[in-house]
Amino acid sequence: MAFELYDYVAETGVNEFKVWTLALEKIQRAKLNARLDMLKRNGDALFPEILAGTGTAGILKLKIKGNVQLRPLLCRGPMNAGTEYTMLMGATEVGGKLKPKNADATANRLKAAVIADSMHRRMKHERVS
Amino acid sequence: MSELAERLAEEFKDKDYAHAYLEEHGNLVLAAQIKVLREMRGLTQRQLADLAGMKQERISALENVDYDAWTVKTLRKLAKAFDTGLEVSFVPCSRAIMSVVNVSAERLQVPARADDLKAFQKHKIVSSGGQWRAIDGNHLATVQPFSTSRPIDPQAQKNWLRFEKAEGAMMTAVGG
Repeated sequence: MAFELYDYVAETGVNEFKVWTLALEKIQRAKLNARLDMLKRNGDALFPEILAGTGTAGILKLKIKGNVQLRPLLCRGPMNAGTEYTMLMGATEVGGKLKPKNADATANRLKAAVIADSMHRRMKHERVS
Repeated sequence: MSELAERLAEEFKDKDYAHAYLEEHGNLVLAAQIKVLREMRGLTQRQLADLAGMKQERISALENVDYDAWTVKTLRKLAKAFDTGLEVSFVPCSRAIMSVVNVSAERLQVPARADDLKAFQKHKIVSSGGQWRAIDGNHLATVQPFSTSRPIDPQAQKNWLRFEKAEGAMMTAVGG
């Protein structure tokens, strides 16, 4: 079953997840895309522990290993939890803690913004390779 | 062509990108397949660990998509525990791309040896263009429409050699 991927869009209309992805190194983008492609094609049920919870309910982190531990934050849905994921913001993890500080709480606020105006506050995921 | 396949064909022109992507994808799929095969056989992680001569914690680690220290020796142990074959080979990137776009829970399933051999022995083993092929009923059905869009070359037909004695259904399907 295929899933739809979305990116959070800021009030200014900027796709901030894409901006974060553009700043990554090529190898990191390749690993990110490999995981997102499988998430889009099969969802997370097929891939054990591809998504992990955070300190905030409903906010998940995609774990990507490397010199820098990338932890892009996302949620299921939020409009249709069984068929879509929304990438909320980029983050990293250092010493078991998300960076920027309180990233999961911030992501939860972005999720609320998407729920309030899903027409304008998210867009189809924009791949960066 | 699938949109993803087209995209990957472009992206894989960059060697470093291609290898990073395929390594990550390989880790994801191996972990997923171990879990799929274990569940397909109704095994707990502990039961699989016993069959493979490993500890349960090790199976848990291997089923985690973040695991990236695979060895052929470990995979051989698992192949024996699952009673399947193990194929480790170098392939063209184009084939790797097609593997990516075709990943699904169903495609990760592999029957155990006894069931697989039983099904395999119902296949017709034929030779075409110097290559042996195992053809089941479904494949024969897909061969038939071929003759409607392009007439079958009688000479080419002769190249289809049966490994077993000829059977009417097989020859009818191949001959259109």
